[in-house]
Amino acid sequence: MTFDASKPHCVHPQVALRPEPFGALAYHYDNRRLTLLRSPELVALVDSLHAHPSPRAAFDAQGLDPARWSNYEKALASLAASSFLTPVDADPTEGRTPGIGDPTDGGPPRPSGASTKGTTMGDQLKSGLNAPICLTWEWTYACNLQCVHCLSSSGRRDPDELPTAEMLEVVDAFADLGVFYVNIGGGEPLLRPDFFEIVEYCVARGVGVKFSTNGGLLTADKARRLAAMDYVDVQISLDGIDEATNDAVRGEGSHAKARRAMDHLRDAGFGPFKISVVMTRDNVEQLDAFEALADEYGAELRLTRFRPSGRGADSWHDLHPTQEQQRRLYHWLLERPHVLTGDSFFHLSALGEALPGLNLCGAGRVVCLIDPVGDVYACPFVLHEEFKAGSIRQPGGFGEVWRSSPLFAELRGPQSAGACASCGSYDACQGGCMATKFFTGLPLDGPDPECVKGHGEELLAGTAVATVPTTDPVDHSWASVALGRRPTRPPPLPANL
Amino acid sequence: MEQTPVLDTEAVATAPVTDDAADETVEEELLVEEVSIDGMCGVY
Repeated sequence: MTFDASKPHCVHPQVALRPEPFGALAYHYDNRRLTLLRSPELVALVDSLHAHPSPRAAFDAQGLDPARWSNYEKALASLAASSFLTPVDADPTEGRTPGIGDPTDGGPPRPSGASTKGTTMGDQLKSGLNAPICLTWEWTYACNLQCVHCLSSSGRRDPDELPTAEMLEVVDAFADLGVFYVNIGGGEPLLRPDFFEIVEYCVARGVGVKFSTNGGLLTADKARRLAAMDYVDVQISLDGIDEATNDAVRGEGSHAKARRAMDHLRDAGFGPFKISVVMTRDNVEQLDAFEALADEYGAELRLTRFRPSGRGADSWHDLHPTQEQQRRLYHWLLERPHVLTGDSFFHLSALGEALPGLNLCGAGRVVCLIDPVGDVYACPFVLHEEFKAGSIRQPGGFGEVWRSSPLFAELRGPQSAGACASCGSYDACQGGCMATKFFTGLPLDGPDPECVKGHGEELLAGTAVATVPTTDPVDHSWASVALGRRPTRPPPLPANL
Repeated sequence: MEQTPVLDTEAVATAPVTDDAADETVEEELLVEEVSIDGMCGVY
């Protein structure tokens, strides 16, 4: 539909606006799109549209310089094209219905009014937000599987895990901060007996839910219950198109359980759930088959990068994709921008054209993780004391950790390219993934171990096993899981390309 | 990050416009940028 600036418009009822230092973030709960409104004036304009007979009348009422009206009209047209704005057929003065999670009444600080001209979106995101774009919340360390690559070394429930009442208080904190949605992981979230109680509370408080499960406990009844809920996404983990490939990583019988869960979701009419695949040396050649499987279910395919975090530290060296496989994956993804990657593979952008995404490390800047006992880490892949920012049990709770953690402040500050400064591809790959470097014993200001230029492999070859940092303090593996390469962490090696 | 968002970015860069009276270029502004964060979650 063509945007007509002479007709009344308002913000779509399923859109939440969250004030940010540069303007605002707007999240659409229907189409899952996120938009940065990079001007406080634009935010005020958008927020006032419902009170005016047309956008042009709102321009006038806001006192905007007429010479810039065309700029604002283009911006509003873009928002309308993405369904963030919608035409108003009835009386526009009735106003919009606040969307789920809408924090515009109170909540985070309003824009400062400082100019953002000349800055990139990446620059603005690197310096931090009022709340994470993407917050991963692990609900339990308990798991019915023992995947060899588990990033949280899950298995046994921790006796100090947050009880229901504290979980609900965390949800309240998210709502107050304007967190659009949370990604629920574990462990296996469905092992919590209060799973549905907390999910339903999230939705009631305007916090969307996406949860990841191995599917083993996702019965037909649970699938129907999930299908009846709004603002809940489900992601089924599958790391091999066949039993042999998948079960070698996720355990015997796990492939059949995941497929059965997919059947239940399809039969319940859940809609487009996600099939989530961790890319390994053994499944890169199955990309086309994964895509076909997703099509068969009407599902979306999500691929993610294998990090040497948690138990992955033991299996990464044998399972991470080869350089040739990385190149194949890169070209496959370039041809399929609809395949979800969560910006997981930004290190591959050094191969040429950038993959879709922000292409930056979001740790502590736009993402973070809360573990089952309430500790807050910079990202889901760095469950290690060195990257612990605090605890939701501290005074001020999660919001205080997000705002005031010295670790997060450091991550949001200027970062050195270090040894990568002499490489012409740094702007494309940003030096790669912090977690992947850390857990392979490489310096954080050097190349990623999977650097597509080969610089990481050279460094890795000279890294002694003894330099690999331990993750033991947060290891909840079953006793039978072998833990091999986990000595203590010494100072990182100097890196020179 | 799984971190880093997104995935599709669509920048709406407004083209320079001219002032009728002085033919003065108005500073280019990037008012809206869209990103797709579906798939960002950092869990396996």
